[in-house]
Amino acid sequence: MTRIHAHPSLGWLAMGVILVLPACNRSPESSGSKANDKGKVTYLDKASIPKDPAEMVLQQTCMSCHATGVGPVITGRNLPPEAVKSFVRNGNRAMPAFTEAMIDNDTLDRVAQLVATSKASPAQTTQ
Amino acid sequence: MADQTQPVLPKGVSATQFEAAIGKMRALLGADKVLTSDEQLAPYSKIMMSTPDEEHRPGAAVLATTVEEVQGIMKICNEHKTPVWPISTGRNFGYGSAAPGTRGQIVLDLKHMNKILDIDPVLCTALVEPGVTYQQLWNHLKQNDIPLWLSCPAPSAIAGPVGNTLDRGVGYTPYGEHFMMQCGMEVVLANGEVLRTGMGGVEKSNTWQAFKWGYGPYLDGIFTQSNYGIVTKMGLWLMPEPPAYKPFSIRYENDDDIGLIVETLRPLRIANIIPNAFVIANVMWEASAVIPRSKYYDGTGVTPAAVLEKIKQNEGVGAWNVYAALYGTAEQVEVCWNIVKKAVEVSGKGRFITEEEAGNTEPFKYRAQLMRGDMTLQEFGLYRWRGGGGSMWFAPVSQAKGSETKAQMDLAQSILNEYGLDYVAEFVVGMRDMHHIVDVLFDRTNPAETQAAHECFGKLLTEFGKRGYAVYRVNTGFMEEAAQLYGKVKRDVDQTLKRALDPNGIIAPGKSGIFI
Repeated sequence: MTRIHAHPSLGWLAMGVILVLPACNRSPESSGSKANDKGKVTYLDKASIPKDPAEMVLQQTCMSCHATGVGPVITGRNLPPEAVKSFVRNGNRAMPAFTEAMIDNDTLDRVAQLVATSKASPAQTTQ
Repeated sequence: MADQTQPVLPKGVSATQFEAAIGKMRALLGADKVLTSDEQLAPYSKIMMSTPDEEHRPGAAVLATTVEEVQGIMKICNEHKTPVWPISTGRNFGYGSAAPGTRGQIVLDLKHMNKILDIDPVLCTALVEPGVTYQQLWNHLKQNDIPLWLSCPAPSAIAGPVGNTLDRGVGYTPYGEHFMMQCGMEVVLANGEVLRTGMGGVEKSNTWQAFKWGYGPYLDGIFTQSNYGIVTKMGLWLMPEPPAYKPFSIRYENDDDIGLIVETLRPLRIANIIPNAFVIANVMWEASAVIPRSKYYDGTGVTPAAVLEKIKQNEGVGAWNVYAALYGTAEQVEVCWNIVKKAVEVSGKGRFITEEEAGNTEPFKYRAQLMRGDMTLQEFGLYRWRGGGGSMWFAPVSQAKGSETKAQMDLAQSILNEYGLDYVAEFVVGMRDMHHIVDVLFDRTNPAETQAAHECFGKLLTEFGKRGYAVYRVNTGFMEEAAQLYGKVKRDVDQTLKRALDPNGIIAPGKSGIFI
């Protein structure tokens, strides 16, 4: 259940730590920063949230490591789906294992297909 | 799928008892919610600690979806004296992951209890089930345009607020002391009764998530880092999105600067000028977010000092790297920023790095994300620093005093180096304390290095303990040793509570060193 929300500045006013509070509607997230804006950190917003559950797992879990240099690149490498699923279920060294409760078998099948058929990102670097 | 050829049994439980319990759980939950094959149990067995996999192998895993099912499981466990090890998301990497503390326990996986039950944007509170992840909660807030921020630990996306808070984990926002921001619990007790803490027991109460203390003894604390009940709902406070947010870093060049850093910034933290749980990360912690050690050093053992100097120069990393943030209106942030700048200037050391300079470069970016409760897994770079999948967090509590941090740093470094391991560390600055977090990283595929890490971790606990330093949390392989540091009377009280609340010892025996 989600209730109707209050105005952001009112919510901020509710914090006990505030000493002086002139009203201000500027939101740090609405500054319109783009991926390559110099001098700005890019913060994700709701447009970044995939609707498809498998795409959501891929983008919000797998790619959080495998597209950031933390883990090896997995896209554009024609990785066999069975190998992808095995890595997910068993983990590998630093990579954690994911249970059926976290990623059900049907979703994992589709995630593995997405990885297997993915194209290399132009930004990919050799690991 | 075939069951394990030889079921792994909990200590003191016969195969007959165990099979009877499993059979009843299948009847209660459905056969597909009771996992017994090697293939199904593999992800529950993946650990990063130095203790052998066999010591933490589960007998089975069961998936509960409702409070009634958890109650039913308690009944079965009591009947057959068979223990369960509850997990919420099981993402406590380096502390034990999803595996049970001792061999054969049945993992009670609450991941399917994943409902966001309430978000109150006026009071800025949430009520969630144990399986809710930070990512799920973040998605919910964003999709519903609710301007509230989370506070999450570094494995944010895949971990969850209930598990993290119950293990008294921390985050990096002004709400970073997570248990302090927790409000109200629902707990299934071993006898099957359902307790609601705080105001939750009052009929028609609407203040369960608004007032922490209720009446009489405050109980929430005994359900953290314990095995006295199974938390099935938890309230927490969320931070209203501030109109202005200013993350920044301060870079220091020398290891010995740690004392000066703490003395400079502690007063600002206590006075709430810097309101968040800011961090002071050392060179290897910082570098690991962007590179593996092998980029500069292919050898084994301790990373040579000359290599670290080269990394500092080439990668733009300090010996110590502070990450903090300011929150509020633009006017407030400006006032506080001037105070911080002045304090650092007077101290005579430290170079500021702001968002304007860093932009989207790492590690600044992920630190800026963490300090506003956004999702990032960039800090998992720690695990590739040395490689091999071994990690144990050594986390002694320190006073927020420069002299103390220096003493702890020197002690930790000397012990780690004795075993050929690196001092990869950060301090997370609390209200009056600091969590000194050392990631004991090792190659778990190398038996000799794993053994060295095991001995090293034991020595860290012992030597720190001799000097009055104890960890606030520990992995499941060293719970007994950590508990010993807190003294006999504390352990006796823990055990008295255990015997009163769970006389058959069916909930997570051994958690925090507590047995019946």
